[in-house]
Amino acid sequence: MNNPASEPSNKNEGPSPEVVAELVARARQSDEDAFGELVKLFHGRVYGVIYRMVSDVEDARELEQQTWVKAWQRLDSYKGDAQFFTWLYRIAVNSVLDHGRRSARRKEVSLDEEPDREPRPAVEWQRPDDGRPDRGLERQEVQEAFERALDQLSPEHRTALILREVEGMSYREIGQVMKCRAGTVMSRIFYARRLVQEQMKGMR
Amino acid sequence: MKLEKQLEQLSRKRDGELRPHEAELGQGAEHAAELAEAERAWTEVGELLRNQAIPVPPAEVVWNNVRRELRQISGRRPERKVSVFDWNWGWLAASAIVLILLGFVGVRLMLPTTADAAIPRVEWVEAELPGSSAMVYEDEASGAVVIWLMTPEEGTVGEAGI
Repeated sequence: MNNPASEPSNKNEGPSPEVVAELVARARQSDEDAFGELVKLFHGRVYGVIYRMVSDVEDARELEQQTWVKAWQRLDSYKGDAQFFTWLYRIAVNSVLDHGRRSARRKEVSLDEEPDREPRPAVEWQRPDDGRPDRGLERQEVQEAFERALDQLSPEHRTALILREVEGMSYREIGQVMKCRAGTVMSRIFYARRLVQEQMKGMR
Repeated sequence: MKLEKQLEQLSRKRDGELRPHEAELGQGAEHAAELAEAERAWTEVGELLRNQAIPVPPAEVVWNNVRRELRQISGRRPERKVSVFDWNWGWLAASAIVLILLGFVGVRLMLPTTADAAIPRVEWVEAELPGSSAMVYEDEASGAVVIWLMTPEEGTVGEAGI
């Protein structure tokens, strides 16, 4: 394997596997405090992935809570064959994808009955300000174009791209999370990059 | 090599998923300008994703909410589901053997004993003496079957035991 051209920031961060394994073992014995430690250790990353997938604060909070509750209920099914966060992300990603499918169905049913939700605020792109006012406008345009481009992606393509770019997961790990082959992950990420690139043409 | 193929390889190269021999194929690539543009655009996509400002709620608040919901649900995790793989096969085998033995014993108790099975059954006795009559009974003391033959003139003419 070659070294990736741009290594995402979250890779290799976090608690040691030994600490996680011990907390998981205790949590499996119904030790709530140990489970609470796991929540606190992984909350930021889990919430980050979910938020990037749904781009909505309330949905993200609700889905993260669902993820942790399901994780507690399913701790016995964690065999330790994958990393804990991979197992956890699988629950989170499935919760988000299920939520997306339910929302899509609700939208289909009630398209003529309910007004659309308020448009969500554009996610801020935090690049150091160089003091030029025109840069702010340009950045906002780029950000909006990026948001629109992300909206064009299916949840599966978006998820694969986020897990790679933000979490730095390998194709194999993403495949474990999304229950698909590494080849499928590769093609989803490639397609997502191409589509976002195409949508953002002329923004720079 | 076609542009699309080179772009696909570039995507995998960025992710560290390119095999060494593929890296050789990618050297001296045609479409250098398109590849450079894709490289720049994809780097920006990654930065945009990673630099999103995410309003992360405090971990303590999240845990308190999770704990509250866990306790509302029932306080405990559901009982562990019993899988066929979790069975204690030793105990299962021992139980099966005991059940088979009990079955044998039960069948054995229901069958007639050897002595019972040896008792002959006499359904019909015929004597050639005119006017005679036969009486068949089981002697309680010996368990033997006794046949009495009676004639009108001479009384009992014969007795046979089986």
